[in-house]
Amino acid sequence: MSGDTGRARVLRGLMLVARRELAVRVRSTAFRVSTIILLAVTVAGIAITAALTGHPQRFTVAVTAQAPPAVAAAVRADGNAAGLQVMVVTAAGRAAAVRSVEQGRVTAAVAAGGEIIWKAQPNSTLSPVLNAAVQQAIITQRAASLGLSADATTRLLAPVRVIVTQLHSQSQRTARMIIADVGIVLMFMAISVYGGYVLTGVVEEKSSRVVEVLLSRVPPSSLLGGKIAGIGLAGLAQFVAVAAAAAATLLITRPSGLPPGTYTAIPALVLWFVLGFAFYSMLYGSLGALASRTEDAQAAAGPVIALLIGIYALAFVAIANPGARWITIVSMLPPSAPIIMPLRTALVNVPAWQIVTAVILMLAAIYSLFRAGARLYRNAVLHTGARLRLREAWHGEPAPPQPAQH
Amino acid sequence: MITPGTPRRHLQDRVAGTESRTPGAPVLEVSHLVKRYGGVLALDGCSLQVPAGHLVGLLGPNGAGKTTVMRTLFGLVLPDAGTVRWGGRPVDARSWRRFGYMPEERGLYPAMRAGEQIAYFGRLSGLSTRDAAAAAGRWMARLGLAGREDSRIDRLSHGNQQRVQLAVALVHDPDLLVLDEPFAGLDPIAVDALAALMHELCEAGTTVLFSSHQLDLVEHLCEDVVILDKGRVVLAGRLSELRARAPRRRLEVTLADDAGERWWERWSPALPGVHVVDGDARRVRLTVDRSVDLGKVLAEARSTAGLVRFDFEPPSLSEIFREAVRS
Repeated sequence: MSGDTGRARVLRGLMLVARRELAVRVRSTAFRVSTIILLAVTVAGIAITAALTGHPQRFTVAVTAQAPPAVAAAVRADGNAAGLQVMVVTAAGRAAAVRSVEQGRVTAAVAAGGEIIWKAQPNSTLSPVLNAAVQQAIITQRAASLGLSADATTRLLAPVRVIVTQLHSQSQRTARMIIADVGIVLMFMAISVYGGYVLTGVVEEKSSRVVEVLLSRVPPSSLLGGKIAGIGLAGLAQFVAVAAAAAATLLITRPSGLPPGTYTAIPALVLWFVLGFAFYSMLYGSLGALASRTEDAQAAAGPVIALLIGIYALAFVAIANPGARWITIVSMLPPSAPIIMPLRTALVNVPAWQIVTAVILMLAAIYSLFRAGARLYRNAVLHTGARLRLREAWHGEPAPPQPAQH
Repeated sequence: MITPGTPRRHLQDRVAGTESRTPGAPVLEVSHLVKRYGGVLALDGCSLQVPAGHLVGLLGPNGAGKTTVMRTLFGLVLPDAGTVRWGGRPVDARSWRRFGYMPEERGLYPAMRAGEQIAYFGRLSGLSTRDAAAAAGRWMARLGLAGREDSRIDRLSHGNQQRVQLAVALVHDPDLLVLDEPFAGLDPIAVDALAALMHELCEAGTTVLFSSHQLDLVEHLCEDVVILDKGRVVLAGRLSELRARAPRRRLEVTLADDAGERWWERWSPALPGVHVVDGDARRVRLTVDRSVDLGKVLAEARSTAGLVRFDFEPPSLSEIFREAVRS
């Protein structure tokens, strides 16, 4: 089996195995239920957060007929300028206005002479708007009495554009960190859960002995690769569905204070999920082949689980200090890149060459693991009995299985 | 459970692959296989040939290397030395597609439906989706599994699981069928049915290699045997020839009346190569080396009064087996 025919055979087998794995996962109740729960949690989480923080605040203000003439217009204009929705209603007189405030039908009222009536403590958001509007209305009145034309008054009172520069935007940084946090948790969970499926899938095939029937028809690389591709596609479908639901919910609710990179972060997360899953599931699958029974599976995969948890912990260190040089380095190296690189992308501006380097190193690592994994798989997968050591499996040294006495 | 043979689809392939070969010439040639697992030598220069369309029993004590040999045929075990050739060419992906294998450790996906499972393995052996589904249905019907297409494997009886396992090995109508301990765990009726099926397959041109510990069964089932011990072939050939070549035969001498204790010791002591197995007052069982002139033994037996039977029998397969493996 040399050259293209060998490769074509591996690929054909891989696709058949992948199709079965995908069908098995997608048909399972666990997959359907978890997809529905994930979608519901994502949509509800974003929608509720947006509802709580995102919408502009609404106020109703009563203005009496005796209030300075321009005050109603000024309240509306200043309210809009402050990002509030302020509705102005007219009150017959001060007594009517006070009643409205008392009954809570309006937040505040403006009466003759620019008097601002609050029920108790002035609302901290609305108060500056009303103060400014009253001041503006009274100044307009005074300007008119001093003989300034309406045009001159408008020009005099034109808003002063004050330029404000925030060197570190607190709200954006917080939002970015939340996105990074969510991203890390999602990535870690997705890789662990789907890597775990590969692990149990390999061990189940081994413990049910079907693997020997399979390997008499397809090479180990087809079997390992197909299993990873099939489970990975199921995982990717779920991941993409959740990401798409998240993006759609964001687009509909448009919560305020979303940092600019949020939408591009989603496809980046999908890319890193694919690479991260491929890498870790190769490890899960190859090490899973060392175990013969499902009970041994977790122990066999211990090193991968430890590695993942270590990188998970590292990610929280990196969040606090995303600019550090060593974080830059680990964000480009294969085992940590799938979690640390999307995290850095969310927090700081990462140069394109670093992302490209990380992706290339990742692809190379995946290919090497695929080759090494297929070898381990071939040597270990027909072994039964006690869990194999890595070295024994690599050198193909396990003692032959002793058939039972008949 | 077996209905008469259905038309075979891949006959053309087989004819094309073997047309230049004379009938009876080996189609499967295993040469000088060596496989070492750490300190254990599993195969120690193992060589055997199987002629096309023959039914060959692979025998040997536990740990002789039978399973390892079978696994090397499929590339499941890569030998440290030696070759496996099919139709004159080293085995490769193309030949594996035409092989069917039922390992000793039976294995199926427990949660998968029977029909789907058989078709899936057909697909893995290169059948198209439609051909695989058709072949799965055909083999299920032939093996008495009609109506079980949609049953999950773990809901099937043990016997039906065995049938599905066999259907998986046969779904692509293989040219070489390798069965590792196919009779283990079968009831006598299932044994008969499987034996009949194996004969039918051979008549239709399939080459069948199987291993078994049930020597009486093998003796009745097939003409060709290969006996393996400690990773080496110790005896191989047609059973009739092996019997003829056997170093000892079995002899039983029976008298009409009791002749007392150890009456055979009154025979001439000068009968080298004749060994007593056991005996009583009327009967003695002996083994006789091939070099011994049976006429002389008969003459001695006649010296005892009342001889009624002088039975000479070629050795049974289990005797040949024990002889071959003992040394």
